[in-house]
Amino acid sequence: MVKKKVKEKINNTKKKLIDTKDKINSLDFDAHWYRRVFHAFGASFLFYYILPDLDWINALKFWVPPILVVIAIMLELLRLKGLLSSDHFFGLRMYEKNRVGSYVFFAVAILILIRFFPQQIAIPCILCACLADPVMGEIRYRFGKKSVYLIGYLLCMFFFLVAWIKADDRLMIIAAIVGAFGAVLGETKKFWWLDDDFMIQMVPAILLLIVWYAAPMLGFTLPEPIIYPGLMPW
Amino acid sequence: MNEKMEYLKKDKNYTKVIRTEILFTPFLVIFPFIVGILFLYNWYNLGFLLNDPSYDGELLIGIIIIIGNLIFDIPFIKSLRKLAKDKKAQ
Repeated sequence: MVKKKVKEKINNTKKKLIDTKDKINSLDFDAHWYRRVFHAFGASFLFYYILPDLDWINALKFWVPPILVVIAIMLELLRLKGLLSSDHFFGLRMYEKNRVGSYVFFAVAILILIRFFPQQIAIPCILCACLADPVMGEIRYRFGKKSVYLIGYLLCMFFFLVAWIKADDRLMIIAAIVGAFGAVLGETKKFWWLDDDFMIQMVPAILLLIVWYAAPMLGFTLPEPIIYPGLMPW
Repeated sequence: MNEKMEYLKKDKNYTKVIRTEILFTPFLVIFPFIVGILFLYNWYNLGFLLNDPSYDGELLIGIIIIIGNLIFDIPFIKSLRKLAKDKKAQ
């Protein structure tokens, strides 16, 4: 009697699991919005700057980002060689079928920024790629090309103003103008072999690096970092 | 839409492939909010309570991360619900 009940329970649970699996598998995702969310998610990599300044965390900060990028590059190589189906890569565009996916360019640019650039340059460039780029894409998609550049420029300018808020007012404005110009230029220049997700980050970063080295020669004091290693709630 | 900008179509044989979008979605939606809240937590504890304005950057970046993600998460979740409804109606 007890055995029968237990068997019945197990069967019911199995049936529920299969139903749930079917329900999950029947879910449809909108590739357009999925791609936008993926972009916005990239802003969470700024987490890197808030991690506490401890030896073991610094070791993780040194090793984890390049390891993640290497994994992404290897996955892309496997996909391009046909060893891994494109079905596993949801939200890819047609032009990425036989080319490296833009998420790899996105990741490589973030890695270069956090490793080799001061955070006052890296943070706004990452925000431009993660938030301004999808906003610009959405404006282009809905309203056409005309308003893209102006709104994109203003939004990027806002990110650069925030990141250079601790600088002298004049230097802050110069950085915002130069950075936003670079970001919009990077977004609009598209090459088959180099994605705009890379350009939108690297073009303003290189322009701002020139400002960064020129500023002390022009009598400006370089701004303090905007984010300090912080506390974790645990 | 330009043909190049269209999305690659998946085979319908879903049960045999790992659907990365299902695995990633909860993480893509929830993690940025956790990060945003951590920024606000740091600003509150080190900046606001100790009256140190040098931590205001954490407040700004935290707000940008949360609002920036909300802007895209809301239509994404709406689109998910709409597609599920359409499927039911079929």
